[in-house]
Amino acid sequence: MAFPLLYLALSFALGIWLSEAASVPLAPAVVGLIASIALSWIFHALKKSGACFALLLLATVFLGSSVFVSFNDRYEGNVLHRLKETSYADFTGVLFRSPSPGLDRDYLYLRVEKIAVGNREERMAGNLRVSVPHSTEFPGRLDLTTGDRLIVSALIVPPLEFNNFEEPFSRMYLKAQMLHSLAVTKSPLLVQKIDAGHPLSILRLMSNLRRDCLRRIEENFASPQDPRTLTAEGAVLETLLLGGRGRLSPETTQSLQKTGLFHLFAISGAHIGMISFMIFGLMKAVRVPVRFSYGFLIVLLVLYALLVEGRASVVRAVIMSIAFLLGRLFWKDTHLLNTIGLGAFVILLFNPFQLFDPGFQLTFAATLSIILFYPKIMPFLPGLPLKIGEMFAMSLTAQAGVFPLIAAMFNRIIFSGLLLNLFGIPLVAVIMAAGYLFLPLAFLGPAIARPAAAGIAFLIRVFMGSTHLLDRFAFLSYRIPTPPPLVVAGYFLFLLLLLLPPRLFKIRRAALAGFLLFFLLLILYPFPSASKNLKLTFIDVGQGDSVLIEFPGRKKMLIDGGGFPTGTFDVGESVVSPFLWNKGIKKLDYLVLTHPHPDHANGLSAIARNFRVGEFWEAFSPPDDAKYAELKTALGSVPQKRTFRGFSRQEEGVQVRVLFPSEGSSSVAPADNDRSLVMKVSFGATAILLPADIGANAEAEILSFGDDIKSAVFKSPHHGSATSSSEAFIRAVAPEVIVITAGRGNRFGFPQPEILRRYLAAGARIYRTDLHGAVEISSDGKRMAVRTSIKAGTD
Amino acid sequence: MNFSIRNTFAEKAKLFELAVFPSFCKICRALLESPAEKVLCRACLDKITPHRAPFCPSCGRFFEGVGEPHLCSACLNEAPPFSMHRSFARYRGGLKDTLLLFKYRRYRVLGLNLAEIVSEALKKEDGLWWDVDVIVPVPLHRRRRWERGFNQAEVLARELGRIRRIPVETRALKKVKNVPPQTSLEHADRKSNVRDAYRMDKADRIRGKVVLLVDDVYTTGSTLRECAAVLKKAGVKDVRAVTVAQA
Repeated sequence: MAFPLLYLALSFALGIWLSEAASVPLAPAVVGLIASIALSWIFHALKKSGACFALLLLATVFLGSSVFVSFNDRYEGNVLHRLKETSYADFTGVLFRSPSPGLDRDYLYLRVEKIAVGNREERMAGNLRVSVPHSTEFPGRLDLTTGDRLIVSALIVPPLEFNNFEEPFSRMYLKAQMLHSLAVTKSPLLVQKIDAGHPLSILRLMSNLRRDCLRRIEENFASPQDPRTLTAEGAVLETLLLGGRGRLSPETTQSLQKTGLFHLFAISGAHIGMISFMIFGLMKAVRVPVRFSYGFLIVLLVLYALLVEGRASVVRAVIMSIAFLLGRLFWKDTHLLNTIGLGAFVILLFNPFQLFDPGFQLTFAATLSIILFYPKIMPFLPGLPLKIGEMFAMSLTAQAGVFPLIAAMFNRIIFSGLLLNLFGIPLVAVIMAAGYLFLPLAFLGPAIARPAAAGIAFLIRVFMGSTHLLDRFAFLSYRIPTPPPLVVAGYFLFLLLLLLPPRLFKIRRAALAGFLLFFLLLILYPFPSASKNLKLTFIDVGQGDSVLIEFPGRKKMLIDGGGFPTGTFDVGESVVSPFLWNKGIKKLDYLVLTHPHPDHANGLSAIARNFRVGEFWEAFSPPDDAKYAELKTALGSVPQKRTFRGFSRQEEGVQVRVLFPSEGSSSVAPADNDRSLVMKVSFGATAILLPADIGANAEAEILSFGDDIKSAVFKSPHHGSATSSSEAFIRAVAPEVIVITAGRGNRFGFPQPEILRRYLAAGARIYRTDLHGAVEISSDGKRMAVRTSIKAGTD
Repeated sequence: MNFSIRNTFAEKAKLFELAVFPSFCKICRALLESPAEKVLCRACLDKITPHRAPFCPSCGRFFEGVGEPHLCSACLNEAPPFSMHRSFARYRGGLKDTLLLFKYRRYRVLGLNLAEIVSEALKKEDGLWWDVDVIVPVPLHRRRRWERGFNQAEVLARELGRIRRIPVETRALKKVKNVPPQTSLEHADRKSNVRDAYRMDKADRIRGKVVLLVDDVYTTGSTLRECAAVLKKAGVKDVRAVTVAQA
């Protein structure tokens, strides 16, 4: 067999996947491992090699399971991971990788040795990521490299998590990064270096080189406004040469993701291949013996992997290249399928959590697909000059392998990359080559470095410009709901069946038909998202509001989209959209903005971009607000209505009535909480009152209208603020269930204790998005049921 | 005890090698199970056997059929510049495959196998080995050598030198004209193609010595004749030649 490691790696991955899904205990996995190895040995002695290999595969499944379980137990049991310290503590530890600079903060990766709180000191081992905000009092930069021992005064913070009936993505992310906890500190002044690591440690040397290269890029690509920050081009160069993505501007990231060109920014096989090609050509030109250059290249690739502190894609590419070069050195065959198996096996052996990391999945799916299908489709392509045919075949086959993964993980269908790659790949190769020549030049002095930097910046601008070439063709890149696992499985199954030998042409033809069917299912998502009952979901968006109403039948309404007032995290893009996509929603018939505050409005722009919208409702709009203007642009030609008291809409037996504000009332500012849109949703015996962020004044005004506001379900106005929920109003609503939308540990102290006491006194059941995650209320018009994302999350 | 530990270690290394680099014989596609086997399996190497039929004792040309060794008509007409030449076998079958893999697929490691086979087969040819002071490979033009990465004749010469404990001299003879490869030419053109293509570089290193010229394939003998003539002119005492295959 030419590629046993591929099968072994697949079994190993299967073992990891099964034990993650079914949480197997360690003992049976180890027993299974030993038993299957023993049996395999017996068959080996009996010279039954088929059975022996089958049992070896089984043993590898058990091995994967054992490795995962032991890693997982160790991670979950880690003291630092379980640490719930609520005050600042002094963490002493050693940097285990280079600090990674970001747009508004730097991250330090600390292998913690001990922690001190007050005069209590405790030894503790674990990996901590400390985020250090850039500060104006501290104009310099932290000058730190791998191996430095530090004392950092920092506060442990929970990872940003949203519980919307799915495991929060941040948990697996932290595991895959082998981080046990996250911490923040206030200023670089709270980071103190106590000693440097061994000066000759290879990690330290590479980290120093990395820092020096970064400095050269920073010097030559400093932003004209603020010399301490990088230009957009400089950030791109940093990513391409050193693999740090922290300073890419959100616009850059977005346009690369949209066009499917982001893979060019993940250092992988293409980059390794290019570097090897350059070095090899150079060594051949100066007549270095071939076998000596193989050896040299092996060493160099290891150093390169250390320099870029690579993720899975780098490690995979380096392992595959080194295996190939070693094969050359020892006159051995190297089968690509075997070396890719080796790459996966090694990575997973050292960190089984990587299996669930999108980067790992994408790099292996793409590479495997290229290896399997590239030779098959090359003969069908016309011979084109400049290797266009080869490049197209590469991107087509890579795309085929990651297509359903990108649909499932990022809810994107992208065709534009196929064309843009033809331009982007060679251009990025030129930029990288120029970049690697630029770095040594930059050490010589600014006179040489400046013009080179200007040239590179120009090339990068051309490349970034090229990503917008196909923007006007929306059908080449669009968003879709998460495909059902069955569709993804069917796609891959039929894709693999296409590899059957040509003599089974009947099965092959059927496989092609099946493949096309699943391909269409994937790109069209023809599944209706219908429900029998009325369903309201109070989505966990952290601090903010977002409520989805699913009417009986197919119509949907989204009221507000959450949002953070500062920072780059887009709640609409990363929390609300995925929640809607996981429900299979493509179209929102109604999009409602209750009032234009960031925690309600900022998420809506992404929603308007990602979904088809039927109608947009709002009451009062602010005079000038950038985020609001962005929302309006994103809505484009969607019909927009101003809805005031008296407006109502009937949808499949469900009535949505606007109770407030009335058109005339205009004494207060337009963006005031007291001008929020208040709606009552009634379905048979179930009534739900959604009062947005109104305060006591608006409540009094609503009471004065004398409407029937009695409702079984009541969204707590203004996240449980003490300035709302007046006693009279609660009495009039007389709710059975109150849902409070508030962020975990929010800085306003929502919901406030006196309000909670008031709700309890009113005899209502309380559900909170900060404790229960998403809260779903469903009703068939007679009976009502409540479901929460976190089951026992009450305290 | 020590011995058994080393054994188990070797076993593990072999298993690792089989798993990471499962390799197959480039001729018969059989799995190479032993770590000593490289590129070709033992069976395919064993199938490469020496030429049995009679040949010219001077230029080494093989004759068809059976009979006594006798001088060929060419040597009767004009004695070659070398005193004797021996080829290992005909350029066909497994030997041809091996030489092609060696030369064009750049499996340099096959030079060792070939040198061993040739040395073993020709070990009784005392006249060939007797008193040889230095082995000189037929040189490649430096540009061709750069393209291929190695000179196949030099690899063979070094391996033969190692086996027979004879020093190898690669700097004495030099190819100065980058002429088209002999394999691309008709028989008639080969002689003129190599005329004046070789020159002495460090003549003093071999003056007065007995030299063994080594090349991979002998077709018309033009290359060997040209090289031998150049060596003779530089004052070499005697030139003999050995090639792996004869077309």
